[in-house]
Amino acid sequence: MIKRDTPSFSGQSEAELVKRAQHNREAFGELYEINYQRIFNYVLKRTANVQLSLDITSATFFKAMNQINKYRWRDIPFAAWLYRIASNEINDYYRKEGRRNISIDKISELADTTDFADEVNQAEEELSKHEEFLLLHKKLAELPSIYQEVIVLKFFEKKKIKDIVEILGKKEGTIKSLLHRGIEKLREKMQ
Amino acid sequence: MKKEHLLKRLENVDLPELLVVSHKARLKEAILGGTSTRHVIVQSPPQRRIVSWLEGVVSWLRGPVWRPALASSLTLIVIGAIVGVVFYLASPSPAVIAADIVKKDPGIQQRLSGAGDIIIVRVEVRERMATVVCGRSMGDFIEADVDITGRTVVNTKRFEGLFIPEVPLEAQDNAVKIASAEPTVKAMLDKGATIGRIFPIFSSISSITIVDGSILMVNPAATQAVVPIIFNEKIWMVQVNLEQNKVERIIEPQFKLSPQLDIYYLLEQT
Repeated sequence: MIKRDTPSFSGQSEAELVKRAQHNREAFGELYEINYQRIFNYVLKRTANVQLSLDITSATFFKAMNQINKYRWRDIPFAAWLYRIASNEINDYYRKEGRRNISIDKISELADTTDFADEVNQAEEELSKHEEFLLLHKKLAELPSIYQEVIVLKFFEKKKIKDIVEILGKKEGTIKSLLHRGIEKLREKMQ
Repeated sequence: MKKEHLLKRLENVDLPELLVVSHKARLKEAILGGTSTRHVIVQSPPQRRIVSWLEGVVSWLRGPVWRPALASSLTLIVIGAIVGVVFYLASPSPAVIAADIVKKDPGIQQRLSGAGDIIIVRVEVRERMATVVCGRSMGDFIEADVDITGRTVVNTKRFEGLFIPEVPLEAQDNAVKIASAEPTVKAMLDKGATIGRIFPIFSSISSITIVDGSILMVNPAATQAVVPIIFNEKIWMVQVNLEQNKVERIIEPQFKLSPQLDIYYLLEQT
């Protein structure tokens, strides 16, 4: 669940931290530390691809960094905004039929330390052990992205409806309807 | 499959929770690179305290002979130190010097393809040597090794990192529309030409950095973009002004499709 106004590890409220982050990189760094893992794992659950997830996570935080000046605190968790950016990045990737700015293989080739390549390999290995998740994801990936979004947020990210409303910027009734239809379509795929 | 069964599977699936530590660290470094921190200026003490301090110094100087002499010597040392600091602060840093050497080097000017001023992406200084990554708009990037003391470029090589220019989606659509309306471009498109990956002009890029060995340029407010038109295995660069909705110029093919040129390896194919 997205916590509202969660104190950061610097003792400030999230609202104060976000305000500081709009003109202080270190403060943005704190927001980054708090949110990196949840965003990376959300993207991973959407894509089931470690290297792609790293790429999209990078793009998400760069975008957030560049647009944080325009961010207005509306008593909605900052993470919701990051989730939305990440969702848009994922949709953008698949909309371009998988062709993105960087070649995934090239990242592995150009990694200037073996640590990075080793870590990525380990992560991929770990991911491959989650067979049930990968099977569900494979079927989920055949659905339109809007259904994927709501299903992943609800069942894999364990978000409540009101959290999903904040992330996707849609009405509660719409989210429930999308969930219902998405589950139906997924069920048909799983037959 | 029953709906209840599917819901149960979705609710109970064992989910991956991973972390690539080195990526997290490096991304943070890239994002926070070019740190700008606010410096708090400490206010000087009130005037009254300064006056009383000066009065104390004057009365102390009225002591034995050696005191004025010591005070004079100390004054000269302090003045000398201030001049030294001012001179140091006024002098450009080694990184700035290295960048300047690169920009003015005739060999590099000749070597770099593309148009416009040379853009410095990164400077890394080690003692009296520096490595400068630079490039030009619509050209390639190179790494130049610079001898700062000797003020010369000692070596250059092609930058092996990838090139990740980014233009917002809506601007991309607009750029394509503007380019496609140009008669020369339209003629090529009618004959089967394809449109490559659109990228921004360097001068309108808001931030440029290096992430994981790749050059990342972000332009959230694109005013100029380049639309590559791929035709007969060659690439025409159509420079588009997004504010004025017009084609600025079309550059004749300088590049062929080649896997070695990473940016074009990534272009959409027919």
